[in-house]
Amino acid sequence: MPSWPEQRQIIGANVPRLDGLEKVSGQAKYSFDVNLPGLLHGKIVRSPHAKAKVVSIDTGPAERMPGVRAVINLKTPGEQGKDTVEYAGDEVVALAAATPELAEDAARAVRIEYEVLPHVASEAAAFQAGPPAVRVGNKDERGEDVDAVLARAAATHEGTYGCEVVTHVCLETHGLVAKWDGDNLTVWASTQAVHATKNALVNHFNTPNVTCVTHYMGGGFGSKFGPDVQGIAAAELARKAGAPVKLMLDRAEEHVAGGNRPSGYGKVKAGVDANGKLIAFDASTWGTGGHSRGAGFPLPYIYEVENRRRQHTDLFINAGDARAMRAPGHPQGCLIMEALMDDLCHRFDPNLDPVEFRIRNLPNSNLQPIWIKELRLGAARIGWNEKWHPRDASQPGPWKHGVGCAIGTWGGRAGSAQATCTIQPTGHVTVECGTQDLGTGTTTLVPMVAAEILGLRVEEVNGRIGSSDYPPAGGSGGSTTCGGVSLAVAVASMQARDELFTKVAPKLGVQPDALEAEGGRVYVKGDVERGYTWRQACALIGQEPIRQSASRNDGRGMSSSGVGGAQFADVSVDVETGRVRLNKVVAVADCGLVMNRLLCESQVYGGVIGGINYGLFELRRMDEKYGQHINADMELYLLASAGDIPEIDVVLLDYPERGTIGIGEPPTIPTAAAISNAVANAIGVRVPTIPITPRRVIEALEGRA
Amino acid sequence: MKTFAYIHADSISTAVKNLGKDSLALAGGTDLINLMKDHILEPGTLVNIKGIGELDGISAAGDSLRIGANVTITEILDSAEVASRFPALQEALYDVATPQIRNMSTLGGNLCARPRCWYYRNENTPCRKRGDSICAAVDGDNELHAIYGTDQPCVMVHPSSAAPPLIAYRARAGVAGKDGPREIPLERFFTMPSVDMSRENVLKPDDVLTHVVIPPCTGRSATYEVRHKESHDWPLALASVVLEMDGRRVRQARIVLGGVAPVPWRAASAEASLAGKEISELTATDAAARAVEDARPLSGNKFKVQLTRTAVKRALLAAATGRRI
Amino acid sequence: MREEKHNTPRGGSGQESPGELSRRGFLKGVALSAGAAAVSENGVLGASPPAAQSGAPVGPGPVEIVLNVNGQEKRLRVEPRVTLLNALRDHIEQKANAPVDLTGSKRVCDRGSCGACTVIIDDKTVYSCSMLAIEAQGKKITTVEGLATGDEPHPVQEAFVECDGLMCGFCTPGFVVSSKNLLDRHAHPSLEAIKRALNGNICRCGTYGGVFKAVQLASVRMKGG
Repeated sequence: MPSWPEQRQIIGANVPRLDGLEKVSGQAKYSFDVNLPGLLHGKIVRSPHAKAKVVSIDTGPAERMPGVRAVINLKTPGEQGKDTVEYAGDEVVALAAATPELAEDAARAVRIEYEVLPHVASEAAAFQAGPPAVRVGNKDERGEDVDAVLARAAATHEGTYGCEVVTHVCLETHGLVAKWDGDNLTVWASTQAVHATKNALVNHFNTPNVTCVTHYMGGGFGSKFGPDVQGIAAAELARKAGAPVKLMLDRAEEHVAGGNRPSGYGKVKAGVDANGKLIAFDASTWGTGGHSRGAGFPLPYIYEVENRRRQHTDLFINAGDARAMRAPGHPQGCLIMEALMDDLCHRFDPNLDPVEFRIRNLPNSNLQPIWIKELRLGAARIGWNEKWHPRDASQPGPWKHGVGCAIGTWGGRAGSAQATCTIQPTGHVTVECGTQDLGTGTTTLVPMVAAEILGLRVEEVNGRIGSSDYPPAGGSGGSTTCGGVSLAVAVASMQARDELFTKVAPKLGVQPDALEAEGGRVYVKGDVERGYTWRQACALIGQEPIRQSASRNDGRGMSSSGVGGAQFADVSVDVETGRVRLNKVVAVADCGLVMNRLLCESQVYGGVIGGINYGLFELRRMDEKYGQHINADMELYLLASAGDIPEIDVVLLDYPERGTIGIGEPPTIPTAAAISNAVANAIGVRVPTIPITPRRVIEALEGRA
Repeated sequence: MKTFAYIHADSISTAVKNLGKDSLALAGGTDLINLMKDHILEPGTLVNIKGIGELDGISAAGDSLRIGANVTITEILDSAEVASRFPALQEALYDVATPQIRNMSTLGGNLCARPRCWYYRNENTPCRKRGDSICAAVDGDNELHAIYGTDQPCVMVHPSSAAPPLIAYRARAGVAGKDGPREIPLERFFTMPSVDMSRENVLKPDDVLTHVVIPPCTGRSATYEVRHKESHDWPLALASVVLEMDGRRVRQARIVLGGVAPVPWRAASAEASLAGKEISELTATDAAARAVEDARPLSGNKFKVQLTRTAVKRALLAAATGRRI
Repeated sequence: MREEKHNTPRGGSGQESPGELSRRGFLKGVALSAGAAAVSENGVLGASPPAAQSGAPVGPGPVEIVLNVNGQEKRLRVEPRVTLLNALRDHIEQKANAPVDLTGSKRVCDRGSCGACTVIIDDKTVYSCSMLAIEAQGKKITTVEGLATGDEPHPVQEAFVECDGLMCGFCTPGFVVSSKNLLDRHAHPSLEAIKRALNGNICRCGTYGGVFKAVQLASVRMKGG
C-alpha cells in the first residue's frame, strides 16, 4: 500500500504558484485571450421575454451584414419543445462575425417574433401560481411525533431564515474558442472539466478527434462543467464559417445564463430539553433553482435531531437555471441551521454561550473532536470571552458590537484521476494529468507531488495539465481535485521511481528497496555518499524512458474525506443606518494533509470572502412583473471591494494521518451564518435573510422584517 | 454599441456648433459609454469635449473658486484649496465610485450623470425616460429609488454626489450655448421629470456645461453619506450642510440631500428650524426629523427615510463640531 | 507557420504548460513580441494622431489611429466606437491577421465596475473599457505587459507571486496595474491607503489578503531604490 512519505520536504511547505509570473505579467493566455488568424467573434441572440413561444426567426438582415460569416438557429419555431424560451436570456440564435462589434450589430439585426406567455419570476409568485411552478416534496419524518416532543420541550424557537439567489460571477465568463482542422476540433474552453467538455463535444459532433485545452481559467465555482449551449454553438459556427470562432459570454449573459446558486428558505421550529439538547426539529423549506432545477439543501445541518420532520418545496420560475456553486446546498443549510441554533440558545438561556450550546449538540462522529478543537481555537482568536455578550445588553452609541460563530462540513474525497510520470534518460521528469487549474493551484500541485516523491526540486519536474490529451481526470467539483490528482501523481511517481531503483540497484550492489531518492540523489538508505546524482542515476535507464501510469484508486489510503470548519465574525452595526462593518473573521479549517500551505491558506481566505459576499452584499434582483434580472452587472450586483475586507485570520489544522482532503468548498460554508449571528448578537434582533443589507437591518430593528 | 461619427472639439464654439439632438458630448465617458453599450443612448455623433482648454482647471475668480467642467474628480480631491475652503465638497467626492472612475470622470459629468435606475438601464423593461408610458420602478423594485418627489412620473434619484455640497455652497453653473455663455444658480440647473422627462437639467441639446463657480463660504460645512459598501457604491442617502454662524448660533443653514430625489433635494423646513439655534444632538435630531417630514417613500425604500434622517443629523453635527463620525 | 506559432496559444500534448514561463526565464515571450512590433512599425513614432482635427467628423466607419502603448506607437484602423480595451485585445494589428495580442487587460464587466481592464494613462489608472480607442490617441498608455523592465518583472509583480496575491488570475493584471500606480505615487502606503487605491478592482476568488501583503512587500523592497 503506497503512503505519503513520513518526512516531507515539499508537501506542506509554502510553494508559490508556478504559473504566477505568467498571470501577473498578462502573458497567461486564458480561453478568452486566444487570438487565432482569421478568428471570428460569436454572439448569441437571447430572448427579451421571460416566457414565450418563438413564432418565427428571420436571420436574413443579419446574414446580409458585412463581416457576418455564419448564423445558426438555437430554437426551432413550430417544433414542440424546441420553440419556447423559458427565461429572459434564453438562447435563440447564434452568429459569428469578423469583430465583436460587428457580431453585436448583427445580433440586433435578427428579427424574432414571439408569442409572449405568462411568466413567474419570484418565489412568492410561484407559490401564488401553484403547480407546475410549485413541486412539494415528500415529508421526511423520523422519530417520535415532532409536535408532541416540541410541546414538552424546555424551550422552543420558531423562525424563518433564508438566502437569496446569487450568481457565480466568474470573472472569465463562460465560453470557448473553437477551431476545426478537417474533422479535428480543438477548443480552448473556460472549463472545470477538460475531459467532460471534450466528451460532450465528441458526442455532439460524432467525431473522436476533439481536444479541449484549458491552461488557465478565470474562475468556475461549480458552473463550468461542459461546453454548454454557447460552446456547442461556437463549434457549429466555426464549422459553418470555416474559420475559428470565439464565443465568450458578456457580463449580463454570464449573470442570467451562466448559472446561479438556488435560493434557500426555511420556516423552522426546534426545541431543546432541560439540558439544552436538541430534541425536536420541524422545517418547511423552499427555494428556486430556475426554470428546471431543484433547490435542495441539507437540513438539519450537522446537528442531529432524533425527532424531526421536514418538507421541501421546489419552486420553478422563469429565470436562468441553477448550477452547482461552491459547496452546493451547504451555505443555505448552514445559514438556516446556525441562525436557528443561536436564536434557540438565546430562547433557552440568554446567558448561555452559543459556543457551549453548539458543543453540547455536536453529533457523535469522528468530526466531533475536530469541531470542538476548532470552536475553542476560533473563540480564543476572535476574543470571544471578552466580546460575546447576551443579546439584550445595551450598548451606548449607534454602533453596536457583536460576535457570532458557525460551523460547517464537507466531504472532499479524492476524485477520479489518472496520471503518467515519465523519467527520461537525461533526467528530465514529466508528469501529465488531464486535470485543470481553476485558480486553486493544481498547476503547482502536480510537480510538487512528483518532486516530493522523486527527491527533486519542484522546478525540476515538468507538470502538464489542462488538456484532454493528457490522461483522464474528473471535473474539478466537490473539492475532489487535490485528493484525486495528488494520489494519481504520487503513485505514478512512486512506480517510476521504483523502476528507476531497479535499474540503479545492481550498480550499487543492493536490492532496489534499499534505495532512496532524496535531495537530487539516488542512494543507499542511510548512506548519502553511496549513490548517484539524479542525472547519473537516470543515465542508467537505457534508451527507453521510464513511463508509469497510475490512478487515484492506486493511492487508496492516502486520502480520506469529511472535514469540519468553524468560523467566527466580529462586527459593528450602525443601528441608525443599517450598515454592517466587519471587523474580523477567524476561519479554522482542517483538510487532512496540507499539500501547499500558501495556496491552501488562500483557498480558505477566498472562501471566507465568498461568504462575506453572500452574507452582506450579493443578491440577484428579479423584477417580477417583467421577468428580468435587473442587476445583471458588477455595479448594482454588489461584491466586496478591498475596503470591505476585514482582517481575516486563517488557521489550518494539520491532520496528516488523514491524507489529502479537498479544501475548495468547506471554508465558504459557515461565514455568512457567523456574520448573521454576530449581527444578531450586536443588535439584539435577527436579520432573517442574507445578504444583510442596510434595508434589512433597519426593517429588522423596526420589526418589519 | 451603435456606430457613430466622432468629432474632436478643441473650443467651446466648435462643441456647441456640433452638439444637437442626435449628437452628445463626451467628457469622462464613464457613464455615457456604458449607456451607449446598453443601447439606452444611441447618438449619431459624439463630440469629444475633453480637449477644450476653457473647461479645464481650478482657479480663483475673485473670492470665488472656479472649477472647470472637465476637471476630474481626482483633481478636485487633490486641490488643497477645495479641501480647506469647501470640505463638504471634498467629503462628498472622497469615496465616489472608484479610483479609476475618479481619474476619468469629470465634474461636468458628475453633475450631468444620468439615472442609475435599473429599469432605465434595461431595454427590456419600460421606462418613462425612454419614452414609455409606464415607470417600472413604481410597482417594481424601488429599493434604491426616490423618497421625495415620488408623485413625479419618474422616481429616479439624481446620482450626483457633487451637486448637494455645491448647491449648499450656493454655487453657480456656467453654461455655453448657441446664445453665448450664461451663469445660473446650480440649484436651478436641475429639473424634475415633470419638466422634461428626457433630461435631468436645463441644458438644451446644444448646450455645454462649462464650469462651476463657488462663492466664498464663511460658514461651517460637512457632508455625510450612507452607503451599503465602504466604497465603490452609490449613496443610499447623502446630506451636505453649510451653517452660516453668528457666534455659536446658526444664522442660516443650508441642507441639501443627494440620492433621495430626482433632483438634489433642499431640506427647507429643517434649515428654517435651525435659525437662531445652537447645533446640539437635540437640535440636529429635530432638524433631521423635519428634513424627512415630506418624504413619501415607495413600497421598498422606507428604510431610506431613516438613513436620510441619520445623514442630516450627522452632517449637521460634523459641520458644527468639525468632528467626523 | 511562424505567425501561427506566435499567435496560437499552447495547445495539445507535447507543448508547453502553464508554469513553464517561470522556469525558463521571465518574460522572454514579451521581449519577442515587442521586438517583432518594433520592426514592423517604421516612421510612425511621433506622428500626430490622424483623427484629431478639431471639428472634423470621422467615422462611423474604421478610422486610422495611432496609440502609444508601452512605449511603442501602434497604428491601427478601428471604428470610433471601439473601446481602448477592445482595441488592445482584439484590434491592434501590425498587419492583417496578426494581432499583437495585448490580452493582459481583461474584459470582465465591460462597464467600468470591476477593474480587470485597468491601464495607466499619463500616470493615472483608468478603465480601458470605458474609454474609446480614438480618444486615447496622443496619450502614454501602459498595460500590464508594459510593467516589466526588460526581463525583470516589476517588484510588485514578484511580490504578488510570493504572497499569493492571485488565484484564478483573471483580475490580477488589473490589481497589479493599480498597485504599481499606487507605489509610483506613494512609496510607502498604509494598509488603508492600499485598500483605497484598490477599491476599483474586484476579485471573485477572494485574494485580497495576499494582494495587500504583496503591495506592502513591494513597497519595502522598492525602498532601496
